[in-house]
Amino acid sequence: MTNNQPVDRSSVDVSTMERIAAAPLATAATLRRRRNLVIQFIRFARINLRMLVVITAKHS
Amino acid sequence: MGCPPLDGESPLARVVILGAGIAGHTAALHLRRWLPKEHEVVVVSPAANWNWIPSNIWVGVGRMTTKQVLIPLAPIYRRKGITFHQGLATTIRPEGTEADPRPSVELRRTDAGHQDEVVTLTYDYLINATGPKLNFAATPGLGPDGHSWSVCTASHAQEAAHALAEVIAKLKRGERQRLVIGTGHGTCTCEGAAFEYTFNVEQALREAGVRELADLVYLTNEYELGDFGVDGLHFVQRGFTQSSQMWTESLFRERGVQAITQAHVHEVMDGKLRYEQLDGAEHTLEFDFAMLLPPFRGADLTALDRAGNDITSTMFAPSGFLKVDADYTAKPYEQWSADDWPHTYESIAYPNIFAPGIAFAPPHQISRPRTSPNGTVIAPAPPRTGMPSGIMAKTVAETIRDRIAAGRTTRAHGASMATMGAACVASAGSGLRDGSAAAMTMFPVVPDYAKYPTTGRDQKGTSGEIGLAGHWIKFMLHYLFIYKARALPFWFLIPE
Repeated sequence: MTNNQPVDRSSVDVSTMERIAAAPLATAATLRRRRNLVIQFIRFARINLRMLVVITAKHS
Repeated sequence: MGCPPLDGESPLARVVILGAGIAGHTAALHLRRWLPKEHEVVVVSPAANWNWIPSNIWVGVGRMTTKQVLIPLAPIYRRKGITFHQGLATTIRPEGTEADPRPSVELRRTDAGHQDEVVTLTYDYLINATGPKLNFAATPGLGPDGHSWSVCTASHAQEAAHALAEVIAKLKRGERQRLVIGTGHGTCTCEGAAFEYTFNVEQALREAGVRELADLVYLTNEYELGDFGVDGLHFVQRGFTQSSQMWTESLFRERGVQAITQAHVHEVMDGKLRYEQLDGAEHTLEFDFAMLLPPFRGADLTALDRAGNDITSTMFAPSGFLKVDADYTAKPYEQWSADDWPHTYESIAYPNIFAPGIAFAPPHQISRPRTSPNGTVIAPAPPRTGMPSGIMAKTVAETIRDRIAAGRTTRAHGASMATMGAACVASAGSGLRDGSAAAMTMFPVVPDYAKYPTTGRDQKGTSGEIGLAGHWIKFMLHYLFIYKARALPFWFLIPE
């Protein structure tokens, strides 16, 4: 969801706000992928593996 | 200066560990596992409980109770044969006294019925794992005793959750509210925790059906979003090298969170804060709810030599953190090197004293430090919590184990933040079906531009992605690390 209700813009960081407004916005398909149980289960395994490699193999 | 001889003086060694956080508790459990029973492992901690701090953000939104993130230390230490003193270390005498040349540490007990009793413990090896002192005093009005909330401890997080519930109640009555979450000083660290709390609050507001009435503002000392105190990350995704800045800004856009970067908070007042940005301009920001992290400093420890002279400034940096085997030569950002970072965490003055985790004095920041035209330093301090803390603590325990077995001249083990990787899972909402987290890995933690000229880090070991899988990992880590902290069977198989 996007809350475009501006706060008092005189008191917030205008340049950062502009960068955020121009940032890539995830598509509906991307948001669905981020919650798809099958895809996320595969990601879960991959991220765990990557973490293990980074913290054990690389460190030792 | 130097430690007294271990060999010949006593066949037994006593290792005293100050602090029972991630570093102290990790060192204590490994040492007890490795050292023969005739050697004593002693832990001194002012708190009776171990706190899995990464889950405090879930306490802070009412998703967990304090009981779920705290475990009592005494039963674990009793079962493992570790001596436990509940107390606050106040004085280190690394050369002992004229009357007793054995090095010692003085503590003030904090357990019920014995408050303020003073105990002196001699040691052969000392691990200072006292972690941070939450320096709310650095910013007037900051903290639960002032006008903002914190999630740094379980009880702080619980208070924040109550305050958040009141804000949600007002929103439900139709009253517009502004919530400000972030860092309460220009030199704060742990921006990742503020990031996590921001998005967990955002989710709580959405679930309560009041998101549209709430203005959520992330206020940070980072130069740009996604810096996280580690100078940001660059990783390859879908054929492009992406920055954590773009990635983070995208999440802020998606979730409708406002942001103020490059900010140093000068003062927090009732419903209002005053901050300065790097351009020197001062602003005020009104709020209905503010959770602002404090800067850290070292624990209040005094060091005395044998004659009783104060040698605190010899052992400790002005920030209160212990000086170790780092290169503390002042130099500009362009000359920073991976070699500046410590390897062994041995005190420069006394090689039988170590400081893993937050307690060691870093040589400098990781992110580029910046100062406003008014001279205000706005520079994130380097994060050294969590996984790196555990690795440093285990490394120090290995050194002590080997020196007890083979003599004090045995070479120390090393684990520099410039050669170790780290995994960081920043929650962006909880729930087994609708949770989300940013799962990041970086290698090394401290960029090494000599070795990795393009981005300072190995692209194969540096990654980031957002999704439900990240939440599952964070949730799993909660239970894994509590299992490990309880020292239940095969706890040592769980990596730091």
